[in-house]
Amino acid sequence: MLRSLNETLGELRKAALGAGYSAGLAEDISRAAGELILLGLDGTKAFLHAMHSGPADTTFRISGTTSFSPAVQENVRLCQRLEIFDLDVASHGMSVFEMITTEPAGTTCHLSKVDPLILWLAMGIAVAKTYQCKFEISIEGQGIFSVSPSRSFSALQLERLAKLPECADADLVLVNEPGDEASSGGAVAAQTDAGGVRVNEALWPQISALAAKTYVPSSSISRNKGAGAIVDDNE
Amino acid sequence: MRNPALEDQLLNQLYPQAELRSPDEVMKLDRMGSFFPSRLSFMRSTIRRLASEKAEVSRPLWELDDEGFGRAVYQLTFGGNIYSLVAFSTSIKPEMRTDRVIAEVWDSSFVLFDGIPSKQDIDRLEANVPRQEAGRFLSSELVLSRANKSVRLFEQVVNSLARGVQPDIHIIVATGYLMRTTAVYGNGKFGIADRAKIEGRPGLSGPFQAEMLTVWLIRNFTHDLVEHVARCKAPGIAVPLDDRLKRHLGIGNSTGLGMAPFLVNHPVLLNNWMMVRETALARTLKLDALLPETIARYEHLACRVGAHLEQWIVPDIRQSGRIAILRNEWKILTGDIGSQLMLSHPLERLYERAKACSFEAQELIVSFLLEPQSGLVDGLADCMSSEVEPRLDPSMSIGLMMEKIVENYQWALDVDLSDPASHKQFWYVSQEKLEPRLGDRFEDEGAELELPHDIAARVKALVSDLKREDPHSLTAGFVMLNPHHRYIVRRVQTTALFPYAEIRDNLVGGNCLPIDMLRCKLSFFGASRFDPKSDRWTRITLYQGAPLAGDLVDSDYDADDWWMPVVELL
Repeated sequence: MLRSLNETLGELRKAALGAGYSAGLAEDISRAAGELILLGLDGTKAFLHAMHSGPADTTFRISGTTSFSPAVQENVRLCQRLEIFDLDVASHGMSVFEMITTEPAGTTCHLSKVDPLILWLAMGIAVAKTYQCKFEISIEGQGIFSVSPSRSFSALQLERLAKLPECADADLVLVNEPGDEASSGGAVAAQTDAGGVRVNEALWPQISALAAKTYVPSSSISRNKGAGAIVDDNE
Repeated sequence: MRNPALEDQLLNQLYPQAELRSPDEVMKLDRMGSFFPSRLSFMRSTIRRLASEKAEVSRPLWELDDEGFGRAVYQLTFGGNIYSLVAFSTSIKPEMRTDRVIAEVWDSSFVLFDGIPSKQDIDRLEANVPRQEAGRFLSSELVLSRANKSVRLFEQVVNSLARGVQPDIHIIVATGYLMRTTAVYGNGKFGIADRAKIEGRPGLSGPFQAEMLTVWLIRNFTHDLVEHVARCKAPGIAVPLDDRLKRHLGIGNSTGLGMAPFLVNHPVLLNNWMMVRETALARTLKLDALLPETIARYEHLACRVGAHLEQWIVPDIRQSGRIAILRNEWKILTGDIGSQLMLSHPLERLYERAKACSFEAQELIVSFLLEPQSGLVDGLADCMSSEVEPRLDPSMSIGLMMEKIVENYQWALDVDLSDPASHKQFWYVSQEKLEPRLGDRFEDEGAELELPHDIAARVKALVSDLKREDPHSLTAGFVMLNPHHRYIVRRVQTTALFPYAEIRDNLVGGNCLPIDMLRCKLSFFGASRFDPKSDRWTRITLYQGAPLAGDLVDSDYDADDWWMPVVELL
């Protein structure tokens, strides 16, 4: 069944809320899953994996002079290395990419046990589009993936992405290149040409069930008072 | 290389403008709840475009029985594309008719179809469109809607026409529509096309243009339907409805809380609507003098507005009181408008005088000032959509973010959260047809599932945590360690760039009136005759006074002169 992108993203966002994530994170997680769905990958499965894994106890370690700081020692920011262990992708995945965009090109970040890996990569795609930047991501045993705003993946690359392990170590590098020209609408345009997106229908009821957790059960008080209208308003 | 400062300078030479009104002044609920439609409203843009193209509406299918039940198709070419309104008219039990979202059946249901539907398409749509939310749709469908009859007026008009006479104009004025829509869905709902499909198309690129086109075509359908039923009831005797009455019969609409979260969830879009309106006002306020014909136009409009206000009669006590005050204020403000407007800086003087009046009068003056200024105003309508999504600025320093909060969210910082009234209400989505609703935090169930509209509390919590940070550190690191703040950080940083993005009032406070949010949004649609039924839902009229399909191809007809319409009472 074809679905519109808007209804798909809306349901994913509500599902993330239903799973207990905050409003901002729900927006990020659903957007990342949407990027996978637009690529024809199983964003539904990756999303649910992240929801069911639950928050991990992520720890951060900085090698270098500073962390997260723009202006130390006469406004010179020094190239540094960030290490993150047991990355909870849903809670911190987007932030890893955002943070590295504030650092000089060449800054590297080593991440251990990125889970789910594919959803984190999708967050990189979303961040690259938003901030017009380029990343190279080296995944243990899987080679290097380049992510940029206009990046389109070949069938072979998509096959590689689809076969990524759920969890792996990774190295992230901000590449010293200007962002490609904006083309974030490319995948959306392709989707609209195709008449919609396809999700994993076998798993989608789990998404709907999570989304339903955000709805307040019906009651006569809610029906009348909550909406401020009597049911029989006919004339 | 672009030079924004130079661009601003050149633009100001081309269109000099006064200082914009402050967001702290404009983005208050009591003022937003006093907005009126203007020539920037989306319906006006739709009609201007239709008229400029001399769009011709045809009716290739009309399969309705003598009682008016069946199906019909309307077609037009707009912006180089063909669109079809597919309409289904259904017999329903009177006791099942309700305007609430929780309804299961409707008198009629519609889709705006992209192109020309085949018979198979129409059959498929007939199996789904009358079911509305329970149906399933394809990307060939752009808008989904439904409407109920105003039973009393519909029957009276049918009976009059069937007797060979026109209906009593007073009952037309009293209701103003034959049918009222109870939902108009776009942007991907239930499988229909995402907005991305049409956002680049001529005529549909502006906000809600596809929805406005749909409603205008539905209005045509209601006129045809009432004539059809009368004709079938009294063949050879029935007469067509007079075009002057048809023009005054718009489309009613019942609007509830569903509209309110939209303004919170689309901050950049809200900013653009408001920014355009404020820019248009600022341009008119800067005019040194007016030509005699422009003064005459303002005089004519002032009279029309006065007459419109006399015909704006609603049962709601609060709104009735506001209208009564407004009528008096309008007489005072415009009683000597001809001589007022001959002075220098005439529009600025008029606006300054209005500041002593109610918000209703002030905001009516805003729409009034814009109306004859098509040259200054209409081009701005192209800036009302948004291609920008709210985004974090990871490189913004904590210190700068704090400055922006103080600059734009003082209203939130001033909220006393220790006062239970400051968070008495909560917004939620009901399981029942996913209707947005408003609850009492201390009485009703479901507060733990509230929507994130408690902006003041979120800002205060953010500030509390930001104070512990090094002001030189970056947003990126802060949200990494405080991911629960991502939502409000994104809003704060968005408002720093788009100053009209945030309603600067406490949306969960005990004195928040959602009806103000509804009226603001509906005014941008072009709705008139606000008829509140409670503090959280209202009836309105769309396209009242608007051109009929035949008017669009009439070179002598001014299709852009229907603001604040008045019926000539005989």
